[in-house]
Amino acid sequence: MLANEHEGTRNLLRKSVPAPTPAGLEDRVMFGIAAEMDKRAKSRAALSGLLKCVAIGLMAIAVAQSFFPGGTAKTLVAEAGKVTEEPSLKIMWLLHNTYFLAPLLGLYVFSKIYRLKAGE
Amino acid sequence: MDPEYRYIQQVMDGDAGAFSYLVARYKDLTFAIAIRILENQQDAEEAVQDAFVQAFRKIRSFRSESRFSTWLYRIVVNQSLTKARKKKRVLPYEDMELAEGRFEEIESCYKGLSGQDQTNYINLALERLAPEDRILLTLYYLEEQPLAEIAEITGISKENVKMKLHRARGKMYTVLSKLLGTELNRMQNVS
Repeated sequence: MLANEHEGTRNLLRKSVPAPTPAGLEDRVMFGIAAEMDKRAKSRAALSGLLKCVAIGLMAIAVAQSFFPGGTAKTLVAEAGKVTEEPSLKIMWLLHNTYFLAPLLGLYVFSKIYRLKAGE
Repeated sequence: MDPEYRYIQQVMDGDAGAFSYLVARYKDLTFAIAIRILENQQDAEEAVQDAFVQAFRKIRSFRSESRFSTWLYRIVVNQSLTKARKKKRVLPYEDMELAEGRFEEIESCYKGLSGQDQTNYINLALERLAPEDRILLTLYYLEEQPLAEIAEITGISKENVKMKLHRARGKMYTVLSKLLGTELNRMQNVS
């Protein structure tokens, strides 16, 4: 296409007047952005709350499990003391007693982080 | 540093308020693109709002290799085309092309119309083109975007843009020639 042909078409198209940008569009867009930020904050708060609940729940399960067969007050104290002193043993003990929750928890946390990163 | 990139960086760092600079800067152009595709103010407004929210969500995926406007226009075009496809249209879009030789004849006939008639006829002609054609014509002739940018915005190759643009132009003149039929006949009779 030659330059003057383009100019002819351009002049022709310039005669078309689309509707002007509606008043308040900017405010409405920013309102949508604020809603998006609010949604993100709520998601983060929900995730944080859930992680707290899960952590407390896991600890409660772990402590409760120490009461199961053989778990007398004496052994419980002894076990807890040992676990507190040795962080690696603490983790091992926790995993030994709550391993069945790990895949579910992992999956949930992974999907939540993925969704947050994707901005949902 | 370009102030636009400074604002983009601020948004990436979590300052949502900085996004208002980008909205203020691009709202008119994004709306102009959306209304060309959708032909309806309310739909266009919704498309623009959705596009800005999507851009805000995905701003971390923006790489400064391309211009922000190109990246944003692409989102607007995609949002608008998705919306346009969802809407059922009664009339089929124009799909015929006119021989190039008649373009000048049509232009000269068009120039003989009053300003208001020119606006009415060109708006009617654009309405009868497919959204994809309208967007190419708008980006190239009105927004004066280079072919490479249009290729990036629409996601089609530069060669394809060139070809489709040529066809869209032909279709637009075809519709105009039909709309101006009586006027063209009168001109031919006079000459």
